[in-house]
Formats: sequence, C-alpha cells, structure tokens
Amino acid sequence: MSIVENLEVKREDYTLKVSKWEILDEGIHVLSGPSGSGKTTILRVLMGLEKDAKLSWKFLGENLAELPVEKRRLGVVFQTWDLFPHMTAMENVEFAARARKLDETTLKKRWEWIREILKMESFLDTPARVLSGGEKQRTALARALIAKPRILLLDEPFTALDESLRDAARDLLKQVVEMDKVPAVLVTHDSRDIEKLATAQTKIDEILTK
Amino acid sequence: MGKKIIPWGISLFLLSPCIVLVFLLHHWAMPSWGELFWALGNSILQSFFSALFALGLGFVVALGAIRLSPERFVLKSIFDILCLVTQFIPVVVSLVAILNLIEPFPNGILGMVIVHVFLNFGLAAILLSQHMKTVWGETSDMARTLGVTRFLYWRKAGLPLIKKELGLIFLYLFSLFFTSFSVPLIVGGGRGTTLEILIYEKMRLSLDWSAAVVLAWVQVAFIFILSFLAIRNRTNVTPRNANIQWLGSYAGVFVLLILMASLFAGYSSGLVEGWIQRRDLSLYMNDLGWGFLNSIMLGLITFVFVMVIFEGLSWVGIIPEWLDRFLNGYLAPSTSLTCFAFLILLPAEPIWSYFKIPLAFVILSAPALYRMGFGERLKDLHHQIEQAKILGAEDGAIFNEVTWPQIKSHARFLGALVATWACGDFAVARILSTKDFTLGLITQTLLSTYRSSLASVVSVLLLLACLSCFFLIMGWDYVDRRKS
Repeated sequence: MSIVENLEVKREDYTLKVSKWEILDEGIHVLSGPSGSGKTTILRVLMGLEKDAKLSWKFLGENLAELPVEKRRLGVVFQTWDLFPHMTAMENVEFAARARKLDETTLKKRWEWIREILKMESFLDTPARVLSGGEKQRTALARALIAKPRILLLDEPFTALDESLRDAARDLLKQVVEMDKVPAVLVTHDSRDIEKLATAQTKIDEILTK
Repeated sequence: MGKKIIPWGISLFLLSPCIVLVFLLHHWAMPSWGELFWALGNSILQSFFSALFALGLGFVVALGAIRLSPERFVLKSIFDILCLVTQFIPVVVSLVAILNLIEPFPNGILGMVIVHVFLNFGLAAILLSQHMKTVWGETSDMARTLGVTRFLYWRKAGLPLIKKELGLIFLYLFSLFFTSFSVPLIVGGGRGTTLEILIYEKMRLSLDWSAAVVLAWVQVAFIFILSFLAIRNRTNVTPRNANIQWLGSYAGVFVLLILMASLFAGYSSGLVEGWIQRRDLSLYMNDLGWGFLNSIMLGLITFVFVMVIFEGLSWVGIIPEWLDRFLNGYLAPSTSLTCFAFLILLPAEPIWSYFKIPLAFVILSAPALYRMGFGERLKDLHHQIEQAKILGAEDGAIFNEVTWPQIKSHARFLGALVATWACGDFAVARILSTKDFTLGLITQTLLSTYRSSLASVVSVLLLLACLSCFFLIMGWDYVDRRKS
C-alpha cells in the first residue's frame, strides 16, 4: 500500500485537498469521478509536475514527494500519449531507456518482452506522428514500462481511441500490468474501464476534503 | 542552475540599453528646450501622418486582399509577397528605388512620410485583412442575406466594427515610425530632424553625451507609453474561414500593382543610369569587394548570436511565465538608444564593430522573433518536455533529443531573417562603426551625396550579399536536417 497525504493544490477559483489516500501496490487502482473534478490535477501533483510543498507520498518506505520529477521513476501514459513526434516508435522507447540509464542486458530482455507482448514489430520504425491511435497507445505504454517503473500512472488512456479499439486496449493493459507486476493508478470517468480493469476503486469525492 | 540564470541573463541583456541609461543618469545636462520640442514635434508629426496615410492606403489594399479568392493560392501568395516585399529587402534598396522615382525628392517631413508609407502600407494591409476576416466574418453572411450592399456594409458595419483594430494598427505604425532611424537619416534632412536623429547627432557628431542621455530618456518614456497602450488594447487574431470576398474590391489589387510597379520602375531607371556611369565605381572596386564580404560576415555573426539566445531559451524549455510576458510585451528600444549603449560599453577599435553591430541587432530583434512563432512553438513542446522529465531524462538529453531537434529549423529560419537584415543594414552600422566597411554603408554614402544611380548599382550587390547570407544559412540547415 502506498499512502498519499496532505495533497493540496490552490487555484485562483478553488482549492483541492486530499488529506489521505491509500493506493494499492498491486493491480490497477482506479480513481474515478466526473470530468473537471480534479483527477488529472491529483495525478500531476503525484508526478511532481505541480508543486506541493506539504505532500507526502510513502511508497515502500520512501517518500516519493521529496524526489524531483525525474527521480520518481514513474511510468506515465497521458490521454494524448505525448509521444515525441520527430522520433520513430522505437526511438521513443529507446529514449526512455537511455534516460533511465538501463544496462544493455536488462534493456534487451525487457525490450524483447515488451515489443512482443504489445505487438509492436510492424510499426517500430514508423515516425510517431503517423502512427494510428492504437499504435500510439501501445508505444506510449512501452515507453512508460521499459524501465520497470515503481508505479504506472494512466490518465484516461483510452479516451482518444476509437470505441471499437478500446476493449482490446483494456485487455492488453490488464495483461501487461499483471505480467509485469507493476502497480497502476488509472484515472477515468468511464464505467467500462472500472468494470473491466479495477482491482480497487476510489471515487474522487471520497478522498477530497471539503 | 542554468535554467534559473538563463532567463535572467537574457532579460538583462535585452534591457542593457536602458540599464546603461540608468547608470548614466548622474551624467546628464539639459539640451535646449527649443531643440528638444522641435525634434519631438517633427517625430510626432511625421509619425502621425506616416501612420495615417499608410493605414489609409493599407485599408484600400486590404480590400484587394480579401477580394482574392483563397482558393487561388498562387495569386494570393504573390499578392502577399508584394505586400511584404519591402519588409524583407534592405531598407536602403527601397530607398534607392523611391529616390530614383521621385526627382527632386522632397527631403524633410514630407519625404519621411512618403518613404514610410511606401515601405509599410503593405504590412498595414496584411494586418488589416486578417482583422477583417475575423471581425467581418461574423456578420458578413447575415448582411448578405439581408441584401446589404458592399458600400453600405463598409459604412454602417465594416468600419465601426474594426474601429478598435484600426486604432491598434495605427498605434503600432506610429511607434514604428517614431523610432525609425534609417529613413530620417537619409531623407530627413536638416529641416526634418527627429528625436532619433537628434540623439544620434548628439552622441556621434557633437559628442554631447550628457544631452543625448536626456533625449534618450524622453524617447524611452514615449515608447513606454506607446507599448503600454498597445498591450492594454491588444486583441488576438484568429482568422475565420467565412466568405467575405464580396466585401473586397479589385481596386485594392490595382493600387498595389501600380505602387509596386512604380517602385520597380524607379529602381530599374536608377540601375540603367548607374550602369552607364559604372566607370565611376572603379574607384570603389576594392571597397566593394571587402564590403561584400564584411556584410555577409556581419550577417553570419548576427545569426550565431541569435542562435545563442534561441538555444538558451530551448535549454530552459518551459519558459517562466514572467519571461514569456516580458518577451511578448517588450518593445525593443530604438536603434539609436541600443547603439548608444554599445558605443559606451565596448571599445571603439574597428574590430569591435563585428561584435557591436550583431549584438545590437539581437537586442533590436529578439522580442519580435519570440513573437514570430518561436515562443508558441516552444510552448507546444511543454507536454513533451514534461513527459521526458517524468521518464527521467536529464536537461542535456531533453535539449538534444526532444526540444532542439523539433525547433531548430524554425529558429534557424528566424535567425536567417535577422542575419539578412543585418547584412543589408546601414543604420546600426552608421552609429557603431567609423568607416564605410559594408555595402549598406557604401550605398548610403552614395545616396547621401546625391549619386542615387550609382547607389542603385551597388544595391544590386547588396541584394546579392543578402541572398547569399540567407541561402548559406538555409542551405546549411537543409544539409544538417538531411544528415540527421
């Protein structure tokens, strides 16, 4: 269990406070709530992209909130996937591996496993800007997983996909998370995501302090 | 650490002319009130009439711009290029054309107004046509269904609707003309001395720096008020796809064609006459050769300095909000004020001209370049930079593999524009150097000594130098992109 405490974000017109939130350290923990309720903001604070001096995020005895963004070793998949458009699918993943300074053996082993499970062979050398939605999503997932992150944070990763592709994408995510044994936090407002993926669920209203 | 220092460093560098003025405050002496008011009056008068006529003519030409169907892409592009051509070719080349066209040329306020209008009505037309598309686009379809005629729409809806935009463009043109240096230097004459020229005369000719400081402060105050008014009333232009063609008029196209044709005729006649007198240039052959090389050299050094600023900003990546606001709102100091700072700060030996002139150009152009898409493109990369940080990438890796590869071509294009501008310049070089070591300076000397035909011939070389400078940079960029 990882524990988030004293999360507070002040905006001009509102303040978002979470006194305590316990996150599962296995499976997929869903944070659900309507659009605009602050789910993404909470995720951005956890990533370290929004400053919060009082935040504490204890994970296996370590306070991740004290670490700078790049040292938190999180895997992130945004709604828009945010691939580097000038790189190919493979270069996107390699960039992440280099950033985390993975040694050759580990990289080779993980990369072989990831590209196989995510079925990336056919588009590895395709520039990211011309990949299809599904391919972009798989590349983003591969990039997030390549360096074996502490936690995988997923911000509505299926929203930008066609309805027909979503079920397959959900199955793939579930399979990857189970096989890689990486805990994941999934932010969503889609009841199908909760139904198919949630190991545990927290509704945002339950953790927000009024 | 660097990410904190770079924004401050860039801001201080851009503000350095004003900072130098602050340090010189103790060293001031009041110029004569008569002289101050006379020069200020000339500046205001010429700026007011230049802006008024450029806007008036720009309005007519803008009607031409919206008359042309957007589907006729080639024709529309030619129209836009003709409108903006005077913005891209060196000022001295346009001056050569105008001085050859109108003989005898009425130096003084009238002369400045003529040249300013010729050089900027096209820019006014493009700016206005963008606003027309946005503002008129909202009501034009409705007006059409009501059976409103074009003239009635202009009178009752069109003009009242873009009143604010007209005012803003007027303000922009006014500030542009108020700080204009190169045009008054050549066609201002004794009777039309503006504040900008008076500052130049005080610091360069009569070496009365104490009076120059006071005049520069008056000018800074004026520029500050103008930029404050402009920022307060700024509107964003988001062109719409509404069909407002029926509100345009081919008269605008004809006006543009006639004005550009006369400019071309003036230039050609000067060129023919200059070619007949080409033997007179034999005295200058050596100077012209060196001038050609020096002009290109200045352009390339300017390019390097501009790239340093761009690379610095790209290294920072996510630009702090205060710096973004500063770069978006800051109106660069005038030419004479910027040069004044470098005249004081750096040694007077000729070799220093190769640094002083490019540095002055960077200060004069950096905020405008940031607004010409560099800032926006950098903002577009914010998510990618954040993503790279989350992935654990270090600053160097983010710069080398994420930010710079995606922004370098645009940065180089903007840098090439400034380099071309520096290559064809004579105004900054006139203040910061002691001899005619560039083609721009040689052309200006010929113009000032009433040898406009010979100036036409030299200006061809100048155009060649500018083109060489531009294509050298863009060619290098092309090769670099192919390699990577």
